[in-house]
Amino acid sequence: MSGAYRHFPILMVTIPFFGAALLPFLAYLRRKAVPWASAFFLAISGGLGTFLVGKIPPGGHLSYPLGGWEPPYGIELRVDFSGYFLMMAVAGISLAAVIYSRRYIEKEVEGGRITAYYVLFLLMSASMMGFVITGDVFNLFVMMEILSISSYALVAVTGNRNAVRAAFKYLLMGAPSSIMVLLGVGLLYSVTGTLNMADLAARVGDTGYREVLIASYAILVLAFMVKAAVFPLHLWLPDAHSIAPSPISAMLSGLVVAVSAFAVARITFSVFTVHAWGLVGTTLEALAVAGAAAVLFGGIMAIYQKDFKMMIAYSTISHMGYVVLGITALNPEGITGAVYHILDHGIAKACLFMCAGNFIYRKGFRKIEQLKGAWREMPWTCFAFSLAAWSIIGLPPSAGFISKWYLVYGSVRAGKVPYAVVLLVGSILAAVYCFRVVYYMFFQPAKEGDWGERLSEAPASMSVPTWALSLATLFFGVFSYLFLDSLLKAAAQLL
Amino acid sequence: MPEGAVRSVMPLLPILFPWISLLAIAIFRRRALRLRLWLCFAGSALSFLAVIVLLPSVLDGKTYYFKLASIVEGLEISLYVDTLGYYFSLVLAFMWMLCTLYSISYIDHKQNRYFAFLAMCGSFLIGAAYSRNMFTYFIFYEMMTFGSYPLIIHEETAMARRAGYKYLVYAIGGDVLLFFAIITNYFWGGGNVNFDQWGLPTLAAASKAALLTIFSSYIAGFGVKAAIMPLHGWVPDAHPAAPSPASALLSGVILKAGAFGIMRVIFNLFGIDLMKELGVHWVVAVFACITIVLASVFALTQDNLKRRLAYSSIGQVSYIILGLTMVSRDGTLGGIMQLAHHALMKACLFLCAGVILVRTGKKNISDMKGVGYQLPVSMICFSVCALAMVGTPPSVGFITKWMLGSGAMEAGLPVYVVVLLVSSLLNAAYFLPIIYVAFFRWEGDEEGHHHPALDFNSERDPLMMVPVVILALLVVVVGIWVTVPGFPLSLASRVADLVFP
Amino acid sequence: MKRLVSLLFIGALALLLLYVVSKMPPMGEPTNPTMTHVVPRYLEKSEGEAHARNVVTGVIINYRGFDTLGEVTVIYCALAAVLAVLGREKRGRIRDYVELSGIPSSVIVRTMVALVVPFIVLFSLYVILHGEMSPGGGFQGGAVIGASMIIFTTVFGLHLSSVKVPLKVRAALEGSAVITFFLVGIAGILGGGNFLAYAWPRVSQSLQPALVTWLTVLVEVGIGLGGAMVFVSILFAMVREEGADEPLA
Repeated sequence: MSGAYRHFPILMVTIPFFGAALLPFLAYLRRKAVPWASAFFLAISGGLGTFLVGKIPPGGHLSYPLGGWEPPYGIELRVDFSGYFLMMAVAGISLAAVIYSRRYIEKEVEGGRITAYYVLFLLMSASMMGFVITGDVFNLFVMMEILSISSYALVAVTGNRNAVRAAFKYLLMGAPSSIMVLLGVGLLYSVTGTLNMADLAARVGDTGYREVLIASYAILVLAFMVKAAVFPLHLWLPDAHSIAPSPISAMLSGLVVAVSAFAVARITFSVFTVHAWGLVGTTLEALAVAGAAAVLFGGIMAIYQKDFKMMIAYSTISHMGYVVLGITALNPEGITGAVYHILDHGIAKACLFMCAGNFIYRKGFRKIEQLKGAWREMPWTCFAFSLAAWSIIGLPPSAGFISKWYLVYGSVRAGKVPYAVVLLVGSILAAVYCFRVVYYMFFQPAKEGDWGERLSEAPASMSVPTWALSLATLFFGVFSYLFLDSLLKAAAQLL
Repeated sequence: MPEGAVRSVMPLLPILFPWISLLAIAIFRRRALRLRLWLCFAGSALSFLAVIVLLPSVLDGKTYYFKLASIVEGLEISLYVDTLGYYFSLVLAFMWMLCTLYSISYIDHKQNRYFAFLAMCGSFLIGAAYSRNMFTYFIFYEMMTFGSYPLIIHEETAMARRAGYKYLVYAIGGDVLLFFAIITNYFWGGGNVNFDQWGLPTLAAASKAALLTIFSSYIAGFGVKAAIMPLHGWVPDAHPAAPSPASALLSGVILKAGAFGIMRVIFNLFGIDLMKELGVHWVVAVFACITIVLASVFALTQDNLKRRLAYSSIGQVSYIILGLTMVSRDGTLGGIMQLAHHALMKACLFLCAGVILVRTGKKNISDMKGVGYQLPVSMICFSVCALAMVGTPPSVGFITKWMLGSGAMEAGLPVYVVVLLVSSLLNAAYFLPIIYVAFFRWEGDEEGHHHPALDFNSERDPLMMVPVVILALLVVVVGIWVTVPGFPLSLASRVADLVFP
Repeated sequence: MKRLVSLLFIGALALLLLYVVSKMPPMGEPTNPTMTHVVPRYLEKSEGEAHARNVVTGVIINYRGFDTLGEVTVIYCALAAVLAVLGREKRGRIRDYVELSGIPSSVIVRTMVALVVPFIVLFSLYVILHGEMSPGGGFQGGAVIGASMIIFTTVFGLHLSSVKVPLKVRAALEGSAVITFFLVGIAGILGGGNFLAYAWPRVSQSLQPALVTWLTVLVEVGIGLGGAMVFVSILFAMVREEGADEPLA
């Protein structure tokens, strides 16, 4: 392992941190430059990531000891293919969202807070990148803290009463869960004396403290369930995700909950590993049941929503259930499905929220009813919405189909046919709530005064990211073969 | 790569040509309406040409293969032209060309949306016909399913919306079942859902319960499209609601996509032997028989012409299923031939119904007194096809019924012959009144007025009449010169020989 | 009812955790996993490897420096969160704000504070700079500076303290902890090691102890300054909470 590229993962994480630290002074000098600077830092981060293409051995990993301290003593970044894959997903979606933010935030957020918005945005996306590649459980906690605090604040950034209330609700559920992560990590440390994941994996099996390990696993899973909004711990999600400004909704729904779900996979496969599954079986089964319930509950609730951002938020709950079911299938196909689903759900969900944002930006509409006939005025947004919805439902050839295939196949292979059926029912529910909106947009006459005949699309800096994401759902469906082999190998190596 | 196949881009061409239409629409958008629509037709015609140039080599037994993408080891998106797939593609490309031609003058609003989705569905269907495995088939099939939604609700009336809604509900349900079937098949079939062989050897090792699950999910999933009762609910609503050329395609081709899927499942995935061993073919056959009889009975009660034709389609598609599940060579042959034969007949009937609707505005049979004098050519074509449906020789309908009857005797189940006869009788009972009303009743006939003079004026539009006449001629011509290479028998018998060596 | 359920739930959870605690390795045993695995190396070699006489500082800044980089980012993030919710004053406007407390502080208090604050700041510098060899360090020192500013603001009002620490200074220094840490990290890469390597392989062996020590101190100073400015900015934001940019009535 040599070459400058091995430094890139850490730079991808820390350059946005650095950028965030520079922003206040930049804002003092030139406020207009702040959005561009944020996009610039994220672009550098993503650009460095593209140099890593093909550098991560499939089925292996890139280990990066920080400060040169060999693993159990220092902190290690452990970039395996699934981590890298998700990091790139985070970089890409964040870049789209930050570009989207410029015009949208100007309108929704009052001047003095815009800098803070971008600072938090950079911290949020960088911490997610750190979160998925770290190989140290305490570092996982630290990254999660940055992620959580910035998310709470970003929900409240518009400063209106409902937003602050939603953020507070989020905080009330999120803060205990952060503490639980710390508690879980502490318990692990107390019986193994190490924080490094690989080292933990080696020591967890033969330490004598069964109860403590079971408890720490259960606590960690419970904590990440809150962050990932897995039913029944989803209570904070619908409010927070629907009230936050749309680009933030896109980030929260598309990525933040998803990487938290990925943390469950990390804990399960990288820390407790196959050898310790005797300890964690019951918790995993409970988690699978919760996931299945989430798929159905989220889907059904989404159908009954009147506010479209609310609907998309409930859909997220349902899709987190998918991811959880993929993880609990405990086979490479299931994990691959889960990781791929995190990606394509992230892209599609971000796109849906951006479309919703476009409607809000142009018209201030939030009700699904008001979208009737939207096609006339905002055709491109409506098409983007349909493409993203296509992926959310999991119809071929979008990326959602590929992940659905692997998730269902994983469940069948694990002998859990009921869960496979739940996943399929979930996609029927998704079809119901998505098609309703698409139907309203394209095939219903507009209500008097809602939509005119003249084209009035959202500004280019908002439309382009929306379209880029909606085309990405197709790209990752059609070209899924580029990634799936490596993902399967990476997943197989986890087991 | 399947054994003996030639790697070639030929299968890709007919899939790509229809996209010319979309290009044309994207380029012209609001200008040059005629040119735009003619380009759409050119797309489908080129696609048909690209299919037909393969005919000689397919008759020689050649197969073609083209890989689009390989998702992972053993799971790829690839095209494969074997005789069965080629047969289906030939039928559908031909139908598509004629219906696109017909649509040019039939569709009078929102042409862009209609023709774009028409072309897309055509492309996807050919892709489905050329799929090498169930995975690819499902991808194309599903895209086609949702792509045909805008065709069904094209008129945007309340009825069309309801029909579209019903269609979506059935389609999503069916697709989910299908998805489940494919995944379970992929799992128990050892990661293989290819159509290369006549029966997957890996599947035979699976437990009986698993096989039953897979088979029944497949049948139910495709049964929605193939309109096997009780999964037929969307058909009688969708057909009258859609514009006539779209109904013709729905009935002639899209319903067949379900039946074609069942063919693939029975021939290529399970194989005749495994299906026999499983012993469920007769259950499907019973469902098919019930559908054949009941659909005809329902058709009797309909006054709306297109609704009656829709019920007739439900019954006729089940002929295919019945033929496949007889497990005899002639039955299989009849079933496969029915796919093309019924497409010819039913497409012609629907196009005639479209002519009637456009020229006279009449939808209900009871209003159609004397329509035969207003629209003589169409009604003659209609009558030819209606009689063919009943099974009158010389026509394609007769050939099918003969083959199916012979297959039933070969399988030792004369009860199927009875079903076929009853069905013929019922077909006659619901088709003959239409002919009667059209030609032997007219305004004022009871007061002793003489019948009106034949009026050819309203049938001057060649775009609409040419497809109708071609189809009606083919119904007779194919029925007489059955063995001409390229006609259904030549291809179907090749398949039957392969299935029953 | 709801309360009862929550109470029962919490009680059950507490009992469960107590049970787990009883199963944990006993506190302070030298044979505990925590005592035998990584800790011995920290204790024995910290001075030789991390060149920090204070082992805690060695672990925080050097061995697990990336965690600390994360932690200072958390603190910075907290500031951004406060500013996102409460908003920041516009440039120059803070001069218009009236004093924090309506009642002018008495002469005794003012004199005392004026006398004490310089010493507090001086003390905080000791805390920061001595972090490398004794208890203390950037976090603590920054907190002390922050505390001194809180006293100053309560007594002399927002007006005066915002003149002492103007927006320009705060905007530039708020992120200094993250910036210093990042730059030191990059320097590690440029010095031929990994990110956050203090002992640069490109520097000769004999210079390395001094290098590590000075970089440690540099990071401590960055943390101290950044932390202090974060405290001050949060304080200012909270004091002018009522009505985003309106002067306090």
